[in-house]
Amino acid sequence: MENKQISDARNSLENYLQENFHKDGENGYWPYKPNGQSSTEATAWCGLALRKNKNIAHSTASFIAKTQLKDGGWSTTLDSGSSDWATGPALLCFRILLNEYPEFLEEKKFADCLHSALHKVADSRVTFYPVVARLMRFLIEGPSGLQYARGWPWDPGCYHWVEPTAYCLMSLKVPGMPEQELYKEVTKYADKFLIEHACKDGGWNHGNHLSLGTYLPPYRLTTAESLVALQDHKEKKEIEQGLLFLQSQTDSDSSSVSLAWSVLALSTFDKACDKEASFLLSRQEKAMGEGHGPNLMTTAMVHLAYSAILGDNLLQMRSTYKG
Amino acid sequence: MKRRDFLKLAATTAAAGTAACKSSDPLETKVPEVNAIQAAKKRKGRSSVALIPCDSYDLDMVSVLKEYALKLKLPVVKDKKVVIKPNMVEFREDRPIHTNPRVLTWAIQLMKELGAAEIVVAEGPGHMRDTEFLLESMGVNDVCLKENVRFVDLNLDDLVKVDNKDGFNGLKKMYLPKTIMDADCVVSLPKLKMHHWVGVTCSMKNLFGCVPGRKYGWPKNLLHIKGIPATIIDLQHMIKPAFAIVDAVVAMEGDGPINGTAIKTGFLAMSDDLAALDATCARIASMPVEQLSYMILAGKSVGNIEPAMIDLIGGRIEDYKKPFKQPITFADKTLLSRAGQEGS
Repeated sequence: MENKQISDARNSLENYLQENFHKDGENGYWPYKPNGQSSTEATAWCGLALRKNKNIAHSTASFIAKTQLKDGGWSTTLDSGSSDWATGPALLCFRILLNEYPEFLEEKKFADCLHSALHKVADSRVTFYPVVARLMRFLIEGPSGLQYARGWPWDPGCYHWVEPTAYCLMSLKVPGMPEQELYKEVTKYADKFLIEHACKDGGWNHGNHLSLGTYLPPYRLTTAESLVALQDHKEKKEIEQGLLFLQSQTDSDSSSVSLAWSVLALSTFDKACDKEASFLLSRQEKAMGEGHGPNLMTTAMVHLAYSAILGDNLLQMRSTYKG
Repeated sequence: MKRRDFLKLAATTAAAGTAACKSSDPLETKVPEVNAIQAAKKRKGRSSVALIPCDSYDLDMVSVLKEYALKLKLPVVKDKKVVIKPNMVEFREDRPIHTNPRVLTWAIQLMKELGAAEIVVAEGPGHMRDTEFLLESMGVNDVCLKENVRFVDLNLDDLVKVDNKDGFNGLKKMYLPKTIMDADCVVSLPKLKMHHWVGVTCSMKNLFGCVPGRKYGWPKNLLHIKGIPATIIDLQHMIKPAFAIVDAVVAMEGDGPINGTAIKTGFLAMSDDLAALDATCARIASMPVEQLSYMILAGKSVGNIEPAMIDLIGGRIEDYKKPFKQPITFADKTLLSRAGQEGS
């Protein structure tokens, strides 16, 4: 497969994303589907895909800053209640854009947004043990009794799950985190949560590895997301097993979003992903032939996957920061 | 017992207690109080449920379904925008988790026969974000292409804020998909399965898939914590499904809704009273309807669950009744305390 083929395919996706970019004053956003309501998540991934365009990057950052809720988090769209899991993708995008354009931080609205978002992420993990149980654990085990695995929920007050935890972890592993013990602790125990929830024979399910006595199977999408989130733990056996699971799927076609994340994960660990790329190209051609594309979030993920194949993997975080 | 062991036990108990409080206890018969406003929403008069023999997905059931639809005097779909909502919660090749695509085909063709102006297939899979994967694996994409109907992913649809102030789950409003709220007629198309949290899942529980993941996640964990039985009933009142057709050609017994096993049951069921329909299917599956809290609540606020108020057309419960393996939570109810944190 030639780079030109990938590059042409990426250009075509770029045009599609630009056509569906909505500008509202200085803010810019994307919906999940063309002409739909704004989507925080779609805006995050699409904004990352088109980040080389400084005007679009600034509009995306402005939209993210403007739609931030008072608690520092984000909800899925405007006027949709309290902050939720969309906080992870929003912060991930925001931090990468600020790294790309450090001059944005001279604007107070962006600096304020970053500050409160980091606090929100650190503060919104699952509590899991109530006060009494935490006290008991402390009495029994000392400080180590409070160092248990904690990830993030989809919604406040719920349990932690693999995907929202992966998104928040990615957002904290973008280079340039403040060197504060708090963030290191948060990252450390969220890493622990993902590692402890790996499936028995490798890879990740969307939830637990075990439900009421039954071992649950891994899926490509959730495995790839977890691998990207845990990329600084190359030495762990769970990473090796997750990669083996992903590689065992390489000859099978799958959905665009699963293939795109597979490319991003394999490429993050410098593994081959030619077959996944080939499936993606075929799917793109078929979607164009049928006159409709997949949703804009998926389009952005495929764009990011093509970029990774071309040597620019945005999610391969060359950070020294480790929880 | 040593002091350290005692403290460990106490800590574990405190944690488990909280987990149990956070999640609901759905198989228990603790049913919320039903006030006058909630009780007034219950269907008036008797209900009819059709039990239609069907022992193979290879059959063509459209004309038979049409005949029963007319007998049941189902709500008129002519010139209306109809949304058909199958169950696509998760995919495993060897397990009957989802509505069979043949049943979806029959339902679409039935709506065409009945003169629907527009037919949309819509679902917000409850566990997996990857709807494209599910559509292809389950054969739903092929059905939609062949029948020339649109599929809408309810997980990513535009949102409408819906009032739930008279609901049971404590959420004064919920965000639901525009496609569902704008439909003239929502048709629930479930698979009959055992369910380890609520006993049985059928046409009412199937509406959980209308709750958008973009707001509530995968699974819709907040609704588990707010109480599955209460939310099942609230969704009936917010969505107001017109009728339902149950895929019980092959059902799931045991540790459903995901990890159970196939049981051949050989029928389709149809009704415009989803409470009566689900109660009938649960009886066929040998489930104690009177012990399932959401069924009891449905009987007070949705429709009829008492056999004396349900007219069966086409067959009797005894014709299809089988001793389904029950969910493992029936034997060990302490497992329910884990409900909120486990996805399947």
